[in-house]
Amino acid sequence: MKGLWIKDLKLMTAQKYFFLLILLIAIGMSISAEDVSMMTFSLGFVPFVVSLFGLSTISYDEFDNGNAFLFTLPITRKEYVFEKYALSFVLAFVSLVVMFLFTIFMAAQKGMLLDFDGWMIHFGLFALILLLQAIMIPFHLKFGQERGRIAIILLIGALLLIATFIQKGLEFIGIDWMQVLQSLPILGQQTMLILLYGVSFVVLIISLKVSIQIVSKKEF
Amino acid sequence: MLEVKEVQKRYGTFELECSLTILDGQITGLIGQNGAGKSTLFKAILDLITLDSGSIQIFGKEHHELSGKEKEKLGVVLSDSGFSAYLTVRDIIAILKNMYSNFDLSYFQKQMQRFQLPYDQKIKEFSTGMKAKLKVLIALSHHAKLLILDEPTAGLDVIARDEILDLLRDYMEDENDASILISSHIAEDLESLCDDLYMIHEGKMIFHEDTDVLLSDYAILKMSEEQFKKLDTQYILKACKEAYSYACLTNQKQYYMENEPGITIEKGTIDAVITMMIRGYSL
Repeated sequence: MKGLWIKDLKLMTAQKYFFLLILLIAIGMSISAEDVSMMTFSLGFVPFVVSLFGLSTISYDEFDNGNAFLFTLPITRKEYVFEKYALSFVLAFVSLVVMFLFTIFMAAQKGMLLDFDGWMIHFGLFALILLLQAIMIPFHLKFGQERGRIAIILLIGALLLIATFIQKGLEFIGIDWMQVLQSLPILGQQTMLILLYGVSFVVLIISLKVSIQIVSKKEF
Repeated sequence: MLEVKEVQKRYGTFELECSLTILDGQITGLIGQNGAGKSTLFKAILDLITLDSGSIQIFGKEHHELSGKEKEKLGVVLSDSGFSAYLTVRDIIAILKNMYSNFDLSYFQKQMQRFQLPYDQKIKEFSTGMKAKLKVLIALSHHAKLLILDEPTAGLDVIARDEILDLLRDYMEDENDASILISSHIAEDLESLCDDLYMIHEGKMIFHEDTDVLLSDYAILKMSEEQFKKLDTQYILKACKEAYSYACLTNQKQYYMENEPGITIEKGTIDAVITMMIRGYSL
């Protein structure tokens, strides 16, 4: 398993200039930001991009049928999948912590304090990144980078289509869905956050199981 | 060491259907034309494709049940796959160190020097020969007990091919009980290296023999139509009609040398045997 980590870290260092560019843009944006929420936003996208670096290693593995050789090495297919999820998790977590500390530092430089909303945004962001990864990893493993993207777009399209059908169906039987939504109890930020983490966790577990199935059945 | 039992795998119109055994301490060659099924068989052995039927045992265990630790005893070269071309040899050393508990750094470095391979150049910038040498070197770097080498010399010139074959000979001298399964479509490579040979054609094993027996007892008999009609065919494996004569494959060269003085007897090279096995008909 350690060998897989080293491989992916080495592959990611091949993209170090792209990573540095993202970091410079984020720092530039945070320096020019006029308030803390702007600063939080400008730094928030770095963990998103960094976690995508983890996903890019799947494409590197697939390039030139590299997966065939990879699975002759002393690793199991299950370990490979676990490593991809762990890598995405660690990348998102480490970059989020680093950027969080950097936001506090930059805010302090400008005589500002990171408020409660700022903390919430960072915590929420982590759950969202995990959710995004949970959706993207199985698609990448199943279809590869290019076809994986198309498959995700098709999935989103299909979900929107289903939502439209439900909305039309409700309208047809005389239910105003906007009114239904408005009548729902308003959730507090903390409750929303807990709910978001709960959903992300469940989706992540399902995603992991699906990915293991995908890779176990794959032929190279 | 390795036992492939009645394995079947179908891809559209192509069907792999074969058995094979590799004994401890032996080098077994697999020879066949392009598209004969060599790579498919290798992928089946390495559990990279699922079998329609049959079974494969490595180190006495079902091939799909091998743990990471047991897979450390395998050294693999695949003709169409390897480490990511975006890595350097230095990166690969770091990976191998952490993948294999028996990784032999000093052996690896010694061979790197022998082949004059660069440490810090990305593999995608390597020549075909450099890539082939590196692939073999990686497979040999961790004292594997079973080497599975699919076309390790493909696309190489004679000198480079010899260097790789020498490396394999040295390896077998150092690792007493190791075995090798090696495929090639170049008969010469296998003739000088292997203890026994399998021939695969259209997904099926059409021939298996010890290399020594093949080279000493097999022969191609050339004769006229008249001689062919009178020929004692009890030791003829295949016959083939040529432009103005007949050619027959036998595994009893001595018998025909003694009993058929009028016919031409040519040495049974691997290429000649393959050609006869594929083009010839049984009597």
